[in-house]
Amino acid sequence: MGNFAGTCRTLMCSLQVLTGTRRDGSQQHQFLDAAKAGNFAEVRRMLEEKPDLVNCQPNGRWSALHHAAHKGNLAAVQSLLERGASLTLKTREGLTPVEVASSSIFDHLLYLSLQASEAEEAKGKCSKRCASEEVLRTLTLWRFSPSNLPAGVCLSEEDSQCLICLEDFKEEEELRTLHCCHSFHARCVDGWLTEKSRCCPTCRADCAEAN
Amino acid sequence: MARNRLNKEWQEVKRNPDPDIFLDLDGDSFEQWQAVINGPQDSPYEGGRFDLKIICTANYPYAAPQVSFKTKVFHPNVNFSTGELCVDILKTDWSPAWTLQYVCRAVIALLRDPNADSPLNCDAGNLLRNGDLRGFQSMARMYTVEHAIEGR
Repeated sequence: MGNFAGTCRTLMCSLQVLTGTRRDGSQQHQFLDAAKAGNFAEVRRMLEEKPDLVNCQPNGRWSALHHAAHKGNLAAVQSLLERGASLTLKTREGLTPVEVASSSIFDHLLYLSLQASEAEEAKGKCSKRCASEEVLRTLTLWRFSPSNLPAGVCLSEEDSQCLICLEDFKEEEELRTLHCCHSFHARCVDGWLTEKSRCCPTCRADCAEAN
Repeated sequence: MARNRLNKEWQEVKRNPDPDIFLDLDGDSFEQWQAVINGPQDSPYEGGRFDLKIICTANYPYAAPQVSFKTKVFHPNVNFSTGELCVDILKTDWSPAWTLQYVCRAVIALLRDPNADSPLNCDAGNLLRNGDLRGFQSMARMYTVEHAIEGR
């Protein structure tokens, strides 16, 4: 399959070029073709027009940064990095731009990529996507009692179960109710919100945003 | 948590089976499951029965289950050799409120609506992206007949 598929792919690519039928990804391909040909003036021009081309990899092609690094073109590398090119993109074979870089700029790129990964770690692994303790404290915490709901909490018949552990709520259990009005056991949902995602497991509403 | 919750799911699946999904434990632990899903109607996978392997770690349901095809399938979002799946609900968009049965339904939906934009199988993705629907369907159909219908 592998070889056959490869041949098909090559044939299909040449067909596309010949007939000019490349569909919506065509601009991305043109962009990468320019990078592959070493025409970085054109690359810059296209980026000015459409900045989000910078990390495109249609069909798993090499990114523009891979090409610039491979050619050892430091000016092009720097210009791409300034425009948000990522050092962590991979080729189909799993190689990063650093790993395909020409030996003339390899050290420089390696240094940049180490710096970038340190900055990433310093940001904290989920400051953006998870809820902080403060956000958690803004969410209603209460002891379950179907006859005595706190203000702002609504609980319909089908809400009588925690959708995380699939157990029914029992009298006196601690529940957490999010702004979207979905309730869970506090012991079930708190860890999800603070460590995995601040989206409500049921409806994906952002629990950091009161409506 | 994982064990209790998976036990609940198992009871629920036995009580309320989905006609298009066979889902059961694979062995004695709740860690490994097997599923067989029916290929959706009006797709090249129709009539095929596809085996899935599902692994739940101790961190389930906070971590998504790992799902892969055991039956060969030609589809842009399924790795042809490993059976690995690329579907957002098993990666970034996972929610602990989803169950294994829901995951199986999502896989059936993926068979019905392939997403050519994030291909794990570039050949299948390219056929679709170039508008060669017939080419894609005949390849997918060929593998369905070979592996999911006659090969079973």
